[in-house]
Amino acid sequence: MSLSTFSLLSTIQGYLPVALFLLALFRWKKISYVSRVTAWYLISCSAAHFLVVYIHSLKVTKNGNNVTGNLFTFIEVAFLLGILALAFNSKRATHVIVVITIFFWVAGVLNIVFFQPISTINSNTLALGNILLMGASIGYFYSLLHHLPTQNLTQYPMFWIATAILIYSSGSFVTYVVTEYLVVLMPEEFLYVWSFKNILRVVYYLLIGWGILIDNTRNPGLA
Amino acid sequence: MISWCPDMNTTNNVTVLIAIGTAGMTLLAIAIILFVFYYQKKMLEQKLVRQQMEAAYQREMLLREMEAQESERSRISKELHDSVGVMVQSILTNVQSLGTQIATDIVQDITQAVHETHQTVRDAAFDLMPASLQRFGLSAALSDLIARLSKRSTATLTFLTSGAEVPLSDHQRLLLFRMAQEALANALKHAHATHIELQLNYSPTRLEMTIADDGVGINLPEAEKKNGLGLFNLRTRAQMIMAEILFLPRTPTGTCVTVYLPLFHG
Repeated sequence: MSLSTFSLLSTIQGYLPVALFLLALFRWKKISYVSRVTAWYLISCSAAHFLVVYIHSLKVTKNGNNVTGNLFTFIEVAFLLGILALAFNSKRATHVIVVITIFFWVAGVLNIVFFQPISTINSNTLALGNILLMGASIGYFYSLLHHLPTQNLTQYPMFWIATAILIYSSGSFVTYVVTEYLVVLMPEEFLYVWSFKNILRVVYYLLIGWGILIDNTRNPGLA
Repeated sequence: MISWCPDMNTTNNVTVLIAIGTAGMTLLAIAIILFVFYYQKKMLEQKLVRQQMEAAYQREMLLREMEAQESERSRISKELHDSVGVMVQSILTNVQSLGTQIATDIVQDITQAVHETHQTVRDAAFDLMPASLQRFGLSAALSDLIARLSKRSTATLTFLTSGAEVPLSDHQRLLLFRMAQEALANALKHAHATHIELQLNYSPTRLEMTIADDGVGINLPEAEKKNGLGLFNLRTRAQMIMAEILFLPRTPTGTCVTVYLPLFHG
């Protein structure tokens, strides 16, 4: 993995959510509320990405970009759990997800205070976030099987969004678990592993984009 | 070289382990998604089968209920016709013979009252179960029904039939007759129609029964709420003989209820 390929993947990661947000904006009147929230999530991902790049380019502090990334983790996990809570459409599930989110924030803060300072990659927080997102998306799939809201799952936007969350969370989980080890002992290998995570991230955005593209909830006649 | 090789091996091993772990987790996620996908299909199929079984059971129950109702109607009709009707007829004969001996207004009034009672009993017996339906078929029974309703109401009722009459099962005959009865009652009672036309068209493949009126028309959603049971009965009866029923508005006013019954030969 050359640095240029790594950089290309990073650039795609930055611009792809913007393109998907524009797609959602173009179909704004046709898409459901959950897809709209997902579109706002995508633009926030892109904003965080460019902020990280910008802070890195300033070179004010050595690891300023990590701080932004770590803070965005708190927002991102909450955003994704919130999207799943909206999709669950159940008061009980919403309460559970609120509790999980608070637990995640508390655990994240404790991790910063006691284990991984905010200037380093908070991989423990990321790994915990992934576990919670895996659990929430599997829970959502269970609710899909329980309520059977649609005849054809492939035409159900939230199925693709939950699929994206599950695949990305489980795929990047191992990466986050070994991040600290790699950064310290095998910094060169870290680039390869992190690139795989970036490829997964692109797949993740594409799956979310597909979910938004097939969403015709507000205008079923045009489906 | 010696010190370099173990590091390289360790690096490779760790990278392979990470790759296996990541690929394993991703594949596990994909497996979960595929499981959800196929299990959902299976559950939908099961749900469909369950719904079909429930619908079949409900239809069966309804059929049994209607059969019991018809059997009871038939019994009461027979009782009215054979016992009460005969008794009233005998009273009428006696009163009429009394009238030839004592010609008073009271006797005339009694004769009139007994005559009306006799007619009411006959009408009630017919409404419950027309004997002509079993003896002469659907056309005859409908013609009889129109004649009786014409006498009872101020509306003009006509009956038309076309095509060669096709033999129907007792069940089909009875349910079509009940549907016509219900639709005519609706036209007279709810639509306040002044002209009603009942048409029976036989073709080799299907029977078409049309009840058209010039009444106030029908607002289906509202009618389902108000006269829910009447329309429900019409639809249920149509379903029970695999017929299709349509409610269409007429211009300038009125409603046209059409029942299409496919005829299967052999």
